Amino acid sequence: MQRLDLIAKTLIDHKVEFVLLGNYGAQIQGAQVLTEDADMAYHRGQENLVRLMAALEEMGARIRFGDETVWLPYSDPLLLSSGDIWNLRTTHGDLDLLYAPAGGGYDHLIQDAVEVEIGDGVVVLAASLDDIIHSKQLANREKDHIALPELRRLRDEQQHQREDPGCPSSYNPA
Amino acid sequence: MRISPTPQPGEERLNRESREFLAYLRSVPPVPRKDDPNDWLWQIRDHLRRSPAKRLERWASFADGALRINSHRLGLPHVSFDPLQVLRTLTAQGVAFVMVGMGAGYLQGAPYPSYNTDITPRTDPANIARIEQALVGLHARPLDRDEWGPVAEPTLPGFRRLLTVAGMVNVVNALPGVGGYDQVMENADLLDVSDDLSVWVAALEDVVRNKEAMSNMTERPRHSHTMDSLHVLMGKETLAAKKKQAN
Repeated sequence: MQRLDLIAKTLIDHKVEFVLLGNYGAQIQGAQVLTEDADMAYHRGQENLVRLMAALEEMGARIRFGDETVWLPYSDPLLLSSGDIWNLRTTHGDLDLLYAPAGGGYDHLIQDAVEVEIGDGVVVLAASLDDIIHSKQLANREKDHIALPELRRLRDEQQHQREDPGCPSSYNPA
Repeated sequence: MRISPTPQPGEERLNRESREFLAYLRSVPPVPRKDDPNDWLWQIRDHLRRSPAKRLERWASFADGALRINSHRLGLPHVSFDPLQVLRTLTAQGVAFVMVGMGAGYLQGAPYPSYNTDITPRTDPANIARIEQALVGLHARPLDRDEWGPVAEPTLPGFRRLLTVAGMVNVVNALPGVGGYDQVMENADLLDVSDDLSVWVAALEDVVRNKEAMSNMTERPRHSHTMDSLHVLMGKETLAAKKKQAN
């Protein structure tokens, strides 16, 4: 089962403080981009790590290690503060936990994060498109360069809608 | 995965299991960046190991989840995405068709699918009659809007975008850059997409060729260009990975 929305819902159920970023963060805001995993930045306070680890245990998270997976010990949530990036495979799909993503971590992203309802009344925080665009510019990979026009298009469309709420959602400056 | 190569201050507070775990992670050689130029390679390798039936299963659940969020965001009713139901219905009606588009690419190993089932049918009158019958069984109707707003008249001749009880279906009589049913079938593979169903699927090379031609079509909207270009890049990397694997 590959359901990234269920990953987000599980984290919400456990009251984890997180911000979705990367292509999934953009996709739930309406961007047409490719993604098969969810990237999230998380608050590193001890209580949040406890909640995060409980959510990971519920989802049976294992470390993605190249083509294989290895176990993740759930017994000590502080373990999650020992790495900057954890690539995980859960029962709902792949999840990357990022402590210090390019462009800024949770404390930075939360400032301009936007609320997005992903169904069943579940509201998640996603990094602003400006922050996602900035992180992709820093990542500087070919696939990021291809995606940037689409992300900018969506950002401009959202800005246009904020300025003129009557404008159709399919506004396309092209 | 990124952890410091040596134990950091504070790690002594971790319990024994976690300390042992970190020691284990540090003992595993890191993957050289040159083997992973853009992070897709692992996903491609991972996906290539799956059987076509597993890929189809994964495609359905992944796309269904994404479409669910899109529908919710747009205030539209969610229609379950079930490509297997589409393929079963077409096969049961005896339709001669070949799967095309990124669904076909995904079944051939490319790691990202599209959210619709694309097919190219044989266009003789008897087959067209069978496909129309199958589409009735799927309650197909012209797609009047997608996440980009109202769907305009098709810009390609012989191209229909449909909404069915099993999600969006595109019927494409001639693929830009490749051709019609006969041309696509020249390189197509018969794949087992479930225990009891095999269907013809366009070769990944032809999927890439088609997407390249689409990305050069000026009348395509900008968001479609982005997807076409990403699909071309991903398809080419998958082909390279398959070639490397074969050697």
